Amino acid sequence: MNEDSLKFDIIVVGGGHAGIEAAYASAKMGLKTVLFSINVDFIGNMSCNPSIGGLAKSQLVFELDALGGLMPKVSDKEGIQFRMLNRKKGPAVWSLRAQEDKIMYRITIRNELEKIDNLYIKQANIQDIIIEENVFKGVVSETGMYYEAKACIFTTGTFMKGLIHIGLTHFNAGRLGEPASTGLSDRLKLIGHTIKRFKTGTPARIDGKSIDFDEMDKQNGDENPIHFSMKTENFNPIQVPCYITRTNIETHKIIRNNLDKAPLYAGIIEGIGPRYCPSIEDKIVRFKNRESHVVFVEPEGIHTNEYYINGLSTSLPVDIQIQFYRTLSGLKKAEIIRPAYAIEYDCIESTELKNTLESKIVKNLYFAGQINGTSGYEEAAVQGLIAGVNASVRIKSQAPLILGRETSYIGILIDDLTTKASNEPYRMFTSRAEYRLILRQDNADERLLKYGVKYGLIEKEYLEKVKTRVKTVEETIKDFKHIFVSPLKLSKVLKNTDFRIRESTSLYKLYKRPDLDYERLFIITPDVKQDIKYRVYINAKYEGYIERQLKYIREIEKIKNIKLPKNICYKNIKIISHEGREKLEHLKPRTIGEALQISGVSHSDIESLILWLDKWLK
Amino acid sequence: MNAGKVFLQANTETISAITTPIGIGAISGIRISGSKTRRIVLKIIKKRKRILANRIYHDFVIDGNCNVIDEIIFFFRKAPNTYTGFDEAEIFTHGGYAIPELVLNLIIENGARIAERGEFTQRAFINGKIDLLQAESVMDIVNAKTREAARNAINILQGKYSMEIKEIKDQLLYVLTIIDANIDFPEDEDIYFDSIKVLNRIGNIKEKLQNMIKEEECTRLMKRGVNVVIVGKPNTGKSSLFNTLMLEEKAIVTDVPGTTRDIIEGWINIEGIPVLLKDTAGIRITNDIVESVGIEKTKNEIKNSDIILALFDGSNKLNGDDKLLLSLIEKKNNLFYILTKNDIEKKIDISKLKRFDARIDTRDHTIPKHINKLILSYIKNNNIVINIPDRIIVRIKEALKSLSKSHSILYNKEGLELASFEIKNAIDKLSNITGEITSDDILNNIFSSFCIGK
Repeated sequence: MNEDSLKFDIIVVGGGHAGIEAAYASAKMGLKTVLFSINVDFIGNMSCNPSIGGLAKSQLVFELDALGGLMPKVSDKEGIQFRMLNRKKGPAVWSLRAQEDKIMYRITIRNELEKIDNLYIKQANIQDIIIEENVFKGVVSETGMYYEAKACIFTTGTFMKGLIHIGLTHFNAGRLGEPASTGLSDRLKLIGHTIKRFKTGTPARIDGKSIDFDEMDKQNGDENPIHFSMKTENFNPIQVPCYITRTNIETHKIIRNNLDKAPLYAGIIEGIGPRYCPSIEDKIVRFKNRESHVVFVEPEGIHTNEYYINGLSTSLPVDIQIQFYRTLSGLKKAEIIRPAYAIEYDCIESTELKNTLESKIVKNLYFAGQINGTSGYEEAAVQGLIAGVNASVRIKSQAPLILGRETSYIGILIDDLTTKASNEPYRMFTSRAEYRLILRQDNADERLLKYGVKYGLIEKEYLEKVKTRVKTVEETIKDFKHIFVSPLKLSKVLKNTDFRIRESTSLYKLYKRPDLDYERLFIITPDVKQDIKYRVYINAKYEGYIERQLKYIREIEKIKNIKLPKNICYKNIKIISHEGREKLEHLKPRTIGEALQISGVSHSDIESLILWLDKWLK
Repeated sequence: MNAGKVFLQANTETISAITTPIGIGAISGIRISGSKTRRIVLKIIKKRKRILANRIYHDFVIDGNCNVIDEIIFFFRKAPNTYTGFDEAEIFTHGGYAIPELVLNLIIENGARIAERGEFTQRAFINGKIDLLQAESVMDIVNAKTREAARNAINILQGKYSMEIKEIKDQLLYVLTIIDANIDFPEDEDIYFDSIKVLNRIGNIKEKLQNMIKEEECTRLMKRGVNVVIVGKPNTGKSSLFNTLMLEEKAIVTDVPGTTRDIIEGWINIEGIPVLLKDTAGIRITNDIVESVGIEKTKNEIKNSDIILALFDGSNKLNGDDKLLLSLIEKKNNLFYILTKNDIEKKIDISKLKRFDARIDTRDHTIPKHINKLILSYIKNNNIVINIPDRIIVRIKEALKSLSKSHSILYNKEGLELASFEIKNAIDKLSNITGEITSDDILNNIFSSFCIGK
């Protein structure tokens, strides 16, 4: 082995969804990148549910696509069911979810990575980090090899001190069937990072042969499915159904009778699990009065007969698992292929990261994904991309990519991670977004494509396309304001409806009407593309609201620019928290915007400060 | 600007002021606040060499030459358990003009400085002893014109409004929780959306806010007072009506300085509402420059007053002067026509006037009640326009507006995300009054209220 194969620009430790995007981005940015995985066969493995997207996560995937990420493209290619969730609500909260073929997903991911020249994939278990004077230098594998690089991104997922619990037995593993990474978290602790212990879980996988699908409700994909990526063409996916069944009193009885065998209730698990993704025993204990919980049965792919039993995650012993799984209709003869389990793992305190995802303690060391205390493939992937870009620009001495809360869900995710400590795994929700009506999946390209192009992650032609589209939409809006529909014409268009208008009304106004299905108006303008009409509708629906949100954003900008007098004695402003006062006194920010950047100064501290200024400095 | 500037440098300074009204009285109070409080008190008293917190002492104030100035009662309290959050002393001297001033001067000579207006309350706010709403209320108590207004202000001080707003915010948070849970967890069946229930909830909250606005407007009326002006041609009985109303209320009548054609005004109290009553110069057709200045003033009062009492002499026919007045008040609605000298032979042609609201006899002892009722009913029925914007009421009104929108959005099924937007907006507005709610609060609520997750 010559020197050259041990020396890189960027090292990525971990081949999950974060590591993939990190390595992909930095390699695309022209840097010699190595991706280390404990088992390269499982790069891009989906450890838990076989789907990408869903509420708020879909928004992340669309944003990732605008930044040139890999996940959206591969999800489109290997998806086996596409469904738009929240159709009954407005387009700002519509979210696409794709069921994926797990095996094909990881094969395609691997292929995509292999296509890139300066990306090296290596199987190695990284055990140690070499740091000199708080600057990252290299990593050491368990075989004793020293790999040197200018920057490093840690994306170890649940592998650091991973401990799987099934019943009262437990064993070390990164996920079922793969070894844990044992040395790294101690090393990170030694460096000065705070290590937290989180927990998550996954349900059993059932053999399709043993499932009676006729006993369950079928859930099909959309008739006219939408895809994630702007790169996807000729989209015509197969649509494999999912199934719905329910737990019942018998299920609950078995679980309740065996709670002493659940490690969480036996006090064996110390890690904190997410409240939004509880195990079935947790649901039954916390919501005693509910007699039934819904369960989704989802295919793991078309090359396998395994089914993912969404809603029945548990850490009860395997024999109890079989017992209570078999109480559900459709699963009466269920055979478990892989058991459900809970896993505890080490992660770092993400507030010890800068908003570039670089460690505040070690220069050129970045972290992304579940190691930062998040949960979800999509959350991991976007962090991976941001860390990959920022590690690359560090080496290239360019400005980092920092997205604001008003530009993207990615911005919200990273801002939340790096400013507030979370005591449970962090998942994205649309209610975390202050500007939900602006941060939509349909306009992710308008918001973020410019960054993707700027960092060379996506071809410029896409930006031109989006610009043209935006212009077309604007022009179409103008046109629709001048196309008037008479009551007679409308009644012809809308057969069998009570909807009436009294006088000729512009098409644009009709698009605004909440009591009218706008898609039925599409027939009036046959020459305009469906996609454009749909965007005109969004514009009509949110017109006033978006302006209000934008105004609010501008107001916030104004507040950020408020100058802070040098002579403020923060110590004495008691309405600000103790920690906030100390930090402000110490750092003496020049503006409110700078004060907002200080970790330890909360938003309510800033509000109090503004109130104080307002009251006493005018 | 000043208060802030002074304050920035003044955090450790010791400040003092006379805290009771200046004037003749049995006792006056002086407050000292700041780190030097104890030292200063020890310097100006005769007997004690040592003082403890929270004890009431009797002593004498002496000047630099050991001359006794006054006999006092005082107590000292230690930070932070004081009104301002600093060390604090309250000294009670004899009343009057001279003695409290002398004692205050001594305190200043020994190292304190005169407190700015409202500075004790500023300190209390800055030290986190009271919230902004309460701080503003203290100012209102200081400025309140009648006892009821003071009581209203005290209610706020005791956190009544803060509590009410907090409660409303919690209820809104609950509604937002239901809506956002529906948006973020569309497949969780534990979350179902009962729009009638949610609409009812919003309706209830709206009503509460509306009541608060009504209450607040009433309160504001008390803070500001209602302007009532008496107009009429000369000798219609304006001054006797004014004097009768004033006399009954034992109010102080002051002369507004100016020309000979002055406006006289005085405060009266009608069921707790402060009313500023104004007597104007008689209106008549004239070429006299001085008189026409007076008439201009009266015109101005007609324009700016909340209520106009227009007097007409019932014992005389309407003349040119009356017609001049009628032309001035022609377009006014906030107007009462009052017929005076009702007990003397009636010569007035009533049909020339739009209506009559009251009649007054020359020796009528029931006048005040009679007129007061008229004024009060007008205030109550007309929600006299509030023209000074106020932080709190503006916020509540904005919150109400957003809430009404969310109601109609839900009713018309325009989309939960829009309803959520408006409700969040309402919460934001209310949060500016008492403190913020974050998205974590919403999520925490969702997780504790619903069984989420597959």
